[in-house]
Amino acid sequence: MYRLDIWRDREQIYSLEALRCKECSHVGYYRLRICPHCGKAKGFDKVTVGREGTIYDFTVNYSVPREFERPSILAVVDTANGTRVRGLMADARPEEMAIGKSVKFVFRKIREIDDVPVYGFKMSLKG
Amino acid sequence: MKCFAILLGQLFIKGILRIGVDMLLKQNVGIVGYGAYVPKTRIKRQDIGSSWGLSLPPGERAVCSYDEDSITMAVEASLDAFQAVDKYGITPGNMGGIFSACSPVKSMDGLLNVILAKTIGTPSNAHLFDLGHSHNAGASSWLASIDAINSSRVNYALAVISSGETAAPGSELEPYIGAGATAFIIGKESTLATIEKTYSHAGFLIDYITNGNVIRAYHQNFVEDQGYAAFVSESVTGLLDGTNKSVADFGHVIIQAPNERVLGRIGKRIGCKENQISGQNILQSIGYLGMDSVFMSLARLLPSLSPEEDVLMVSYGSGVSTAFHLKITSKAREEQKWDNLVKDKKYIDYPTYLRYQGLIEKEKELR
Repeated sequence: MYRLDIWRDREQIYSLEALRCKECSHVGYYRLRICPHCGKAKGFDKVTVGREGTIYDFTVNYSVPREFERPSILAVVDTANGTRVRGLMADARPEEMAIGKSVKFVFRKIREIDDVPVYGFKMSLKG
Repeated sequence: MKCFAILLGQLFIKGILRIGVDMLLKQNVGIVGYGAYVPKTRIKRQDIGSSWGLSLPPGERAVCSYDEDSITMAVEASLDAFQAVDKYGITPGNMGGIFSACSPVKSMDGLLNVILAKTIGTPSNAHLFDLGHSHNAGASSWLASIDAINSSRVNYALAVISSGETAAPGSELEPYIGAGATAFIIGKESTLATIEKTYSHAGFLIDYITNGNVIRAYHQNFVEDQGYAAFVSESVTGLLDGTNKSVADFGHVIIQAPNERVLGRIGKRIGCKENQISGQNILQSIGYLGMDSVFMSLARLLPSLSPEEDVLMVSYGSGVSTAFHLKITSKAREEQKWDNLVKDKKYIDYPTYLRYQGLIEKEKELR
C-alpha cells in the first residue's frame, strides 16, 4: 500500500491544493493548522496552486539516492496566486536553469517505494 | 413464430445475416474535445539497429523517460483535453465516467483511474472503468463511452488511451513501438465529429503477450497476415455492409498497423488509395502506439479536416478489430497545436534507453 504520509498529503500531491489563511491571506502549500505567517489558527480556505509559475531559486544535486536520476534539480517556484512550491525539475539540464524562468507543472513519477511507483507533479521549463 | 425462427436460422446459414456486433448510432454521439501527449524523449531506429547489427529504415520513436509511464501520459493528455474545452464550460466536473485503456504499469495494474480521477478532479460519483490487456482496448474505451452516453447514463465521458509499452531488447518490435496518450471527451452536444457507425469483428488469435510491461510478439509475418490484414478487412467489410458507401468514399482512412510496410499492404487490401491513408508520419516520428495507434493518428488529423468529411478508423488487437465511421461536424478548435507537441525533442542513446525502461539496472553497491 501507499505510505501513509503520501495518503495524508493526497490533496496537495494530486490536486495541487493549497491553503489560504483566513486571517492574513498567506497561502501555504502544505497541510497547516497554524498559519506560519501570522501565527493564528483562524482556519484556512482551500485554493489551487495553479499549473504555472516562475523559478524563485534552485539547487543542482549530484549526490542523490539510488532511485533518483543524477543530477537531480530541486526548484522553488512562485505561482501566480502567491504560493511558493518546492519540487523536482523534469527534463531540465543544469545549464538551462536560471532564476526567473517560467515553468509549468507536469505529472510524473517521483520515485518508487517497495517497487510501487509514487506519482506527483514536477516542474518543466516552458518553451 | 416457429416458421420465423426457421427462416431466420436459414438466413444465418446462408450468410445473408452477418454474425458480428453492428451498431448504428441513432443519436449524435461524438467527440466534443480531445487532447494528446507525446514524451519528449526520442531514440532513432538506427541507434537500436546498430546495437543489434540490423539495417533499419529511417525513423524514430518516442519513449517514456525514466519518470514517465502510461499513467503520467494519460494524466497529461486528459489535462490537455480539458484545457482545450475549458472556455466552452466543459470541466472535469461534468464527466460522468472515465473509460481508460492503459498499457500495464509495474505493480499498478488497474490503478490508473483512481490516480487520474484524483489528479484531474472528476466527481466522486463518476463511473471508473479500467480497460487494457489488448491493442484493441482503446476502441473498447470508445465503445464503452458511446454506450454510456447512448443509454443516457452519463452526459459526458472521458475516453483515455495511453500506451507506453516496452519491447523486449533485440526483438522485431523494438525499433518500431512508441509511447503516447490521447484523451477524448465524448458527448452529444457541440461535437467536432460524430460517430456514425461502429462494427466489431472478433476471432481467435493471440499475437502479443505482455510480461510485466515488456511486450513480446509472435512471428511478425504470421501476426501481419492472420492478424492485422485478415481482421481489419473483415471489420471494414462489416462496417460498410448495408450502407451505400465504399472505402473510396472516405476522405481519410486510419488503420492500425505496426509499421509503414504493413500499413501500405493492408491499405491496398481493403481498397484504399495511397493518399487516403493517414498515419505514416506518426509511425515514423512517434512509433507504433499499440492501443493508442489509431487515436493518435485521429488527433493528428482532426485539425486539418473540414465539416462533412468522412473518416474511416480501424483498430485491431489480439483477434478483435473495431471499425468506426466518423463524420466531421465542425472545425476542430485551434487550441490543438500538434507541432508544439512533437517539436520539443530530446534524443537518447540505446544504453540510456535501456536504463530508462528498467531493462538494465545499476549494480547495488555492497556495504
